[in-house]
Amino acid sequence: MASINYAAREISVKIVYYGPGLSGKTTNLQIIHRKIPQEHKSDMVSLATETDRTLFFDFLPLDLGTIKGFSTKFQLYTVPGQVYYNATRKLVLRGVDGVVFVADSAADKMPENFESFKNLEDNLAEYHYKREEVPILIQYNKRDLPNALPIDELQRQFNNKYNFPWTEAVANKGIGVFDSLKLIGKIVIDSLNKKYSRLSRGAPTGSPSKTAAPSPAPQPAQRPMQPQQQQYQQPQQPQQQQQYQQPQQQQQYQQPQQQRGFGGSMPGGASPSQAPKPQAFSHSGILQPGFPAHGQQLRSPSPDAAYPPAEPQQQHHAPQEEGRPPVSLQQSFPAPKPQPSAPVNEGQQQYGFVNFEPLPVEPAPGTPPAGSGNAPFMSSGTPVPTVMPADQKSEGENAPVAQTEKAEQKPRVSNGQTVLYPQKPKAAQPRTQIDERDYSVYHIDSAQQSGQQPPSSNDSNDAEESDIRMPNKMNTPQGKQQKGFLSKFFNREEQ
Amino acid sequence: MKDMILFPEDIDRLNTVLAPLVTKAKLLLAVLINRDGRVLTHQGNLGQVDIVSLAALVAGNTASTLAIANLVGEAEFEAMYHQGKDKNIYIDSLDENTFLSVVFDDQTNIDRVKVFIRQFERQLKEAVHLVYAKDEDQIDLDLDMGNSSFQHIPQEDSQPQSRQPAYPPQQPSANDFGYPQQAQYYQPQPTPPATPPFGQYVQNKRRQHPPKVE
Repeated sequence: MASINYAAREISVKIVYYGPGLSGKTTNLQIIHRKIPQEHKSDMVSLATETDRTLFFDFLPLDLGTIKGFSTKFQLYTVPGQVYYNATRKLVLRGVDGVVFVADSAADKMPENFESFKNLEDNLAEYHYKREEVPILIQYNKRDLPNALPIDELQRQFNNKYNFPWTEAVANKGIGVFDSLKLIGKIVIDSLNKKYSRLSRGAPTGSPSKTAAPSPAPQPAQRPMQPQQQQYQQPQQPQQQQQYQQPQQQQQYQQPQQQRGFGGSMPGGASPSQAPKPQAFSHSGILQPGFPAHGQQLRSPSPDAAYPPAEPQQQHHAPQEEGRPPVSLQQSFPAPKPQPSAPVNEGQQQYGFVNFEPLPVEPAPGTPPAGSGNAPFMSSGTPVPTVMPADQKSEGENAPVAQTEKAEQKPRVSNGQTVLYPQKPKAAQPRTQIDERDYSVYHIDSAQQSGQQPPSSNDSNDAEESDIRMPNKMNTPQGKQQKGFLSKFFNREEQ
Repeated sequence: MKDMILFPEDIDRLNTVLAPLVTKAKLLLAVLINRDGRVLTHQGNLGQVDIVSLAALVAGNTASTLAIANLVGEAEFEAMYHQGKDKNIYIDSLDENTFLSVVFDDQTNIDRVKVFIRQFERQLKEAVHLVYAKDEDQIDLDLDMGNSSFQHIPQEDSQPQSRQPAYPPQQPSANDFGYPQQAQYYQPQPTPPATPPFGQYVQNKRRQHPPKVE
């Protein structure tokens, strides 16, 4: 059966072209091989006799594009049509995902069609396939023959019992070949989707086999030569998707996002919860395509352990902008510390998403910062509160300071990586002192983040020494090998 | 019959066994192949050889040899060896679903290959067993195509090349008159990255030109 490779993100399915001898199975593959662009196909392998009769099988691997981030690799096989090659046909049918039964439209070939189809059913039954597991498409080939039966008659004789989807084709002229390939590919992918998509599996109503095989519709007597694709209707599931969404989980998932950050509104006026944010999971816990596939996440999407994990429902108040105590540089560097009881949004941290936080509201460019002139950096370190109510002074060190100089020196944290320093007015102070300050701050922060010690002043000498030092060849095993006519004797121990 | 579902851990587990096997036995290629003809994983390099086709043919070869084994009264041949002039193939049956196919040349020999495959066989069997031990109900995969079709299938199926009329000839394109085929629109350039903090420049300059102490 199908192979689903999460590492390479590809799905490979096996399609077998079945049918009586000389009905055009190999011709189908040859036309496909001729017309598919070179970059999407490999060489076609044909194990045929000298008279171009398929001896074992033909094999054509194709790449038919991507579906939801998975590339679809189709492996097309044909079987030998002759009756006495049944053992080979049975071998090729092993692990099949879909069958295209190529029927000969000629009136005198109908007994061979029946015999071959009976043989197909027997072989599938020997592999213990159920009928709904292996989709079958019937391709009425050789429609241009003068003695070809009309489609109504073919359908009545051949397809009356199960009503498989069917197409018309003139394979040697390339008509209807790709329509058959598209249709069987879509049927197979849909059956895989029905099998593995949780939305389909958890569907309470509707049997899929009935929707996949609609009731027979009367066909007009003379139909134009067009592919008949309406026979296969894809089951629609918009209502089941709506049933599966759980609004309570959605609320829990968005809750920590609102508590993050500075508590202010975004510059655009929208609150953080309304901002579009990247989501690794939909509300049903399904990993969205385009995100890295971690095995642990993929293995545990059972409905009981739905993402996100259950969190205690508490009302956390975001820190207010005005009442927040001044935070030093080191405390505020990677991200502002949440409240101790605040839940951590594990999904976003694990995937390394940008934790977007609104920037602090800057004063208007015309207004000078309160309490000082144009030099916020180099002024004296003592904060000068501009507005300090009398009742807050008695609370001591942790008392929230309304608007101080230090609060303006604080770097603006845009995400977890970069620090945007506030703009320095150029003409305010001599440059060397500003450089000294930035130098130290930068090293403290980067050392904290990478977990390394800040470089000392002796590092420049060490770096020069290490550049000069060359690898000693005599220390390597290759360097010890002796050269000359006795090299085999000397190097024997090494080998 | 179950589907073959490969997670990245499965591939890693198989490769950690296959890679030392290739190195120690000096193989050109080692492929783990499903009986259906599908590749689980491979290690080594065989130039431009299409491994998917190789796997399909080796699987067919193994399946047909199974019939020969039944004729002579064997349930299954445990190993097969195809000896060539330069390159040889050795196929070893791991379990009822999988076999290992290795390609090697005269850097090594068949006995050495057999010894090392025997050495790694138990680990390979364990890793392969875990591939098929998954529960299909645990898989969640959204493959809803909707109304879209496959991208790489050409659309001009019902109108083959031979049926298109030779006349009238195609209208000359704009390129024939020396004009560019597509208008050149203004495309905004990406914004340059923000300059690093000022202290970084100072630090680099100091590293390059250390002050000389007299």
